[in-house]
Amino acid sequence: MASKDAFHLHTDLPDDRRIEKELRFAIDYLNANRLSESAKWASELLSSLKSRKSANSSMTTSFMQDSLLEGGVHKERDNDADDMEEDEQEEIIDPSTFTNDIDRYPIDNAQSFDYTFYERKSKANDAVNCARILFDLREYRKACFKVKPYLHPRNQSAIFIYYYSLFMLSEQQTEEERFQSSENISRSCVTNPDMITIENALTEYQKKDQLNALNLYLFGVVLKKRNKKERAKNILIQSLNTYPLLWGAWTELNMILKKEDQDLIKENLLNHWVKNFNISSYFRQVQQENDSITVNGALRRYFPDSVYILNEIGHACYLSQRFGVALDIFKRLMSLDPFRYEDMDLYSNILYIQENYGELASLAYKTFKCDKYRPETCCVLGNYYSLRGDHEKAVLYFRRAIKLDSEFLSAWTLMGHEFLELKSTASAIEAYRTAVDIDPTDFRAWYGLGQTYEIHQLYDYASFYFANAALSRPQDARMWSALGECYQNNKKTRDAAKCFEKAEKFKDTEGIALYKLAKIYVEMNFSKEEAAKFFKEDLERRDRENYEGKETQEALAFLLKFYYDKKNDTQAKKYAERLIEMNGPERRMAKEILDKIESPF
Amino acid sequence: MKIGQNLSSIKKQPLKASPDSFEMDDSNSPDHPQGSLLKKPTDDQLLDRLNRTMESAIRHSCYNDAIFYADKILALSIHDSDQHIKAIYDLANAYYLNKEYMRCVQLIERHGNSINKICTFQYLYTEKFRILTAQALLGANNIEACINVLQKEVKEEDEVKNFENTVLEGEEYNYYKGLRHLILAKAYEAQENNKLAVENYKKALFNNCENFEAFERLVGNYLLTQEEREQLIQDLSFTQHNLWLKDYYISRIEGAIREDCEGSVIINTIEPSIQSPNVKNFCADEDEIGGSGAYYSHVSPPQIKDIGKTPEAKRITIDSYEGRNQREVQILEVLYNSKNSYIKIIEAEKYYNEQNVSKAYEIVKNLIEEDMYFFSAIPLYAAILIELNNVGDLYILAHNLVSSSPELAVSWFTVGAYYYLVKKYDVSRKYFEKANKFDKHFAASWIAFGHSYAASDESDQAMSAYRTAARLFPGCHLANQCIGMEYLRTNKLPTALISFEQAQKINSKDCLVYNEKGVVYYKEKNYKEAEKLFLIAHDLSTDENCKTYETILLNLGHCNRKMKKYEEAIRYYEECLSINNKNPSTYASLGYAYHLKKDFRQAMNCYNKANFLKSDDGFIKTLIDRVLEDLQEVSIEEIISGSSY
Repeated sequence: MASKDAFHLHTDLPDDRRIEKELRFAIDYLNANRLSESAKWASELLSSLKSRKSANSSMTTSFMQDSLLEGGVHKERDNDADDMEEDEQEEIIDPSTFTNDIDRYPIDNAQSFDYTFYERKSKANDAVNCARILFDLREYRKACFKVKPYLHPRNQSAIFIYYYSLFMLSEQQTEEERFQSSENISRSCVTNPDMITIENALTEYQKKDQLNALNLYLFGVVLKKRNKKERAKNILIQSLNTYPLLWGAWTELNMILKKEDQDLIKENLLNHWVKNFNISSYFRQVQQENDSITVNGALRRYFPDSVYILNEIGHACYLSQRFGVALDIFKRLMSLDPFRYEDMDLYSNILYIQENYGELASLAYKTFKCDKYRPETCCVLGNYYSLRGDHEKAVLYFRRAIKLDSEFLSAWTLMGHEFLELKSTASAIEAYRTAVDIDPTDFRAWYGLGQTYEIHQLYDYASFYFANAALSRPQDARMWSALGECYQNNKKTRDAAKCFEKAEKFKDTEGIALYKLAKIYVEMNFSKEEAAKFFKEDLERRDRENYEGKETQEALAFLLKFYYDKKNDTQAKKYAERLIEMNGPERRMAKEILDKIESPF
Repeated sequence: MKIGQNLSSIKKQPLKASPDSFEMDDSNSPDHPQGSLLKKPTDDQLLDRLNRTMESAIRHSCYNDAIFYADKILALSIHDSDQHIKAIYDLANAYYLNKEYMRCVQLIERHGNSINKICTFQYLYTEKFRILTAQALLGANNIEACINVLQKEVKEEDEVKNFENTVLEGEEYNYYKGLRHLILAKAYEAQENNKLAVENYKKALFNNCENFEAFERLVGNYLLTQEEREQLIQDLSFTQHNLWLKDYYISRIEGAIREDCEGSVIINTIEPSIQSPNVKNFCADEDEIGGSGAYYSHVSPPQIKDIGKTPEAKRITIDSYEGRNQREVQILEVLYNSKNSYIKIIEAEKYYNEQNVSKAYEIVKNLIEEDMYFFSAIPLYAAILIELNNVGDLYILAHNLVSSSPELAVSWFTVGAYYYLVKKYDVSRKYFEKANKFDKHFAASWIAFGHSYAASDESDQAMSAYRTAARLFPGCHLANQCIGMEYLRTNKLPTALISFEQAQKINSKDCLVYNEKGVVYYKEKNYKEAEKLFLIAHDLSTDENCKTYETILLNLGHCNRKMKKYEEAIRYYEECLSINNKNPSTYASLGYAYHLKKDFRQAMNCYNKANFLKSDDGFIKTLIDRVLEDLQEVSIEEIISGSSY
């Protein structure tokens, strides 16, 4: 129990024997229902679970407690032979008979979990299996046809595979239609009529409370597609509460969660151990990167080799601009999982920012060899070509990424950047707009839009977009600085000052904010003291970073004049001496003042 | 020649033979030398045999055979006997069945005298003959004569009644009377004398409530308004045996399956009481699930949707004795569960009227798959396919219908519908016209004819087509509604309103009527009234995913915006976007609402989206410029405090 605070976990993890069992069950269950992504997540997690042989002493005690609870039936559980026996004794449940009974799935750690996945052999299930095989072969229509006579609220697997096939079918069709139509992808109005059919059918079932977790998940996905987000949230939470290991349901849910939904998650989601994973990725989503990292760090104690957790940490570090750490983590990740493609575009972004040409090239080569038709791979290649200055080729790869997944956000934004480099403003705007359409909190795209308009000196437009960027990511100084500059250009100095203040508050790494702020104070005749303070701070930072430039001279000149006017000769002298050492127009003024100070009269 | 001679010789035989001759069986007649060897038939035996041949020919639809034998029977039978009259009737009937209408009439007329002689004793035959004559005349399109025949009869009725009172009574009398009115009504309808036609159809139904054709004509051909329809059902008298028919009629009229059915039947189930029906119902094995259990013993509860409200207890009143269970079953419900087409089509129409097209499609598609020639479902099916933009299905439907039954109006209507869907309006018009020629009383085709004009912006022609439809089908609200919509398009608001009101009077359940009425009030700037109407339309529409629903929501949004209830307006617009998130005008409207609410940033966002989706819209561009100006007034503090991110 104490571990809760110590490890920053939200719910306790049960002993790993139970975790193992639950994961095994999940893999079979999800795989049987063709939810491969979720099954993949579960199986990767299972393979990374701390092996029992190296379990430390604290673990063994918990074992003993556990066996006491179960009446000491299985006293020694350390070898595999026992496992075999145990399997036979285990209660067999058939998840296809799961209804909406939350009680049926043991959420609480105190409840025992002794289940293996088994499906009853019956004619109906044979049909379901046939449909599943057809589903694997992408014969969706046929799969629907095969399983249609068995649709009944009591046969949830049949319902699931039927509507899942229909869903895939309609997705496939819309995609084809989209490609056939000459319209631009971002503007395409191809709607999916089957989605309505699925939604209506599932609504009927749901009204009567006749959907199990998997079907609820599917229902949630459909609702999300139909832009009914609030409803989708509730349904997905319901699904997760019925079956917490349904990782796909969580990823879908996480995409539509906002900052305001914190209570919704914390209170409505049942306290199963998977909730830790949920919460951590939620934190990353809502820009609480540090919280995410702490939870994931705690989880790593249980799953030391989990690539998923490592990836999460890396992602969070990237978002919080800790590029060095993120780079290390991604490197680790590549060595653990050399044929990885997930989130490799983030890795390449970091390498791009750091202009690490060699590693980016090697990453591009590796991912290209691994699987070249992945949107992530295409993004890596796009970044690679962009760094090489071959922007046209970069656009080509980003375009391919979009073709592979039209909602692949970073490809849209990056493509916008490339278009900007190529000076094709209209295309850039379109790419950014689409990105913003997909995710209205994507600050990079907002920023890009702002930049595009700024180049064309449409400051009123630009300020609107920069404001959106800043509001989407309020802790980022870059956004505020950009907005401030825009306001300055637009002669809204007061607002500009406010923005630079904000930028300064969030540790402006580029150091423009302070200088700009000081200048504004001078220009507007606000308060010389304040301006001097800002210049001084700016100067101090510049000294620390050993960085000199035009701004340094300006700061020195202002401070010199300021202290000379205040008759603070010692301070004035200090600045004048520094100024004289530099080349520039202020040198003469410094000399004059210095002469005046030094001459007794 | 030879055969003729032979016949005439035989013909004489029965004249000689005594009436009781048939008493003498061939086995008992040693007088006949041939009897024991060749068994020569007696005349009665021959006639009997011929009669049987003729009847079986009719039964098997070999009308030419039937005519041949009936003719022979007629020739062989004794004049002015019952037999003779029956022979005349049979022959006439055979002619009629073989579609030789005038021959049939001619025959009856030629034998008029002998018929009249007999018929003073047997009124039944007079009726039968007259109905046959009338039907033949109707079939030959000789409507005047048909009406004459029938009306004469109606006039004579009283006289006949005077001294035939005792013979004709009760059900049988009413049956024929009903039939008479039905034919008369059909004749009037063919003359486009709707008033008399309706009157006679009604009389036909009053006399015999089982006269489905009369009902079908009245309701299916939109001859009655809603009010009249309800009145009609109330006036009809049903017996215990056809109460279910009442349920059906009411279902038809109300456009929804009746929930508290009256017609029920007691059935015996020979099941041991342990395995009582509800056990079997609920615990259907998983393997059986999906097999449509749809007979008496298999009314499985999950399949009952609309009429599921009938409690289990009412349906299964078990009265067990001697190991037998008696259950009371609602006939309509049983029909519903056995997926009877006539019942299903009501359900489909209900969904269609509620604009729940996808559901209606599901039902009608199943119906058509089962019975492609279920013609009364086809106009609905075509309408649904148009709504769903399902070109392929509509094409094959039209193709199949034309190749199988080119003589039916509905086939050509479907062809027209296909061309309408692919936007070849002039071609479609040609086919609708063709359909109209085949059947003047085919409402769907008239309306579609109007639509095809309206679609190519020929308002005047469209109007006249709709007006014809309104005249021919006073019970079809669509005609009035479309007239109203045309008026609305040309901005003649008061006249439009009158049309919509008429439409509403005819059918008070169509959400579109209310929506259009709302639009009129909206245009007249009477926003309160408009909102009220839009809300009614909103409540009537059940499918949340169709275009109409979106339009209603959009209208509600506009209304609220005009009334300066911006919050409400925004809510409605947002709901619209959840149905279709790619509609630029919704975004523009939403933006405008935000703009008026002085939430300039949101307004800008929405305008941008609209502009993005439809880049060549000048109006949106002006709005963007306006909001940019307004945005300049917003300070950064306000932005931060009012951020919705």
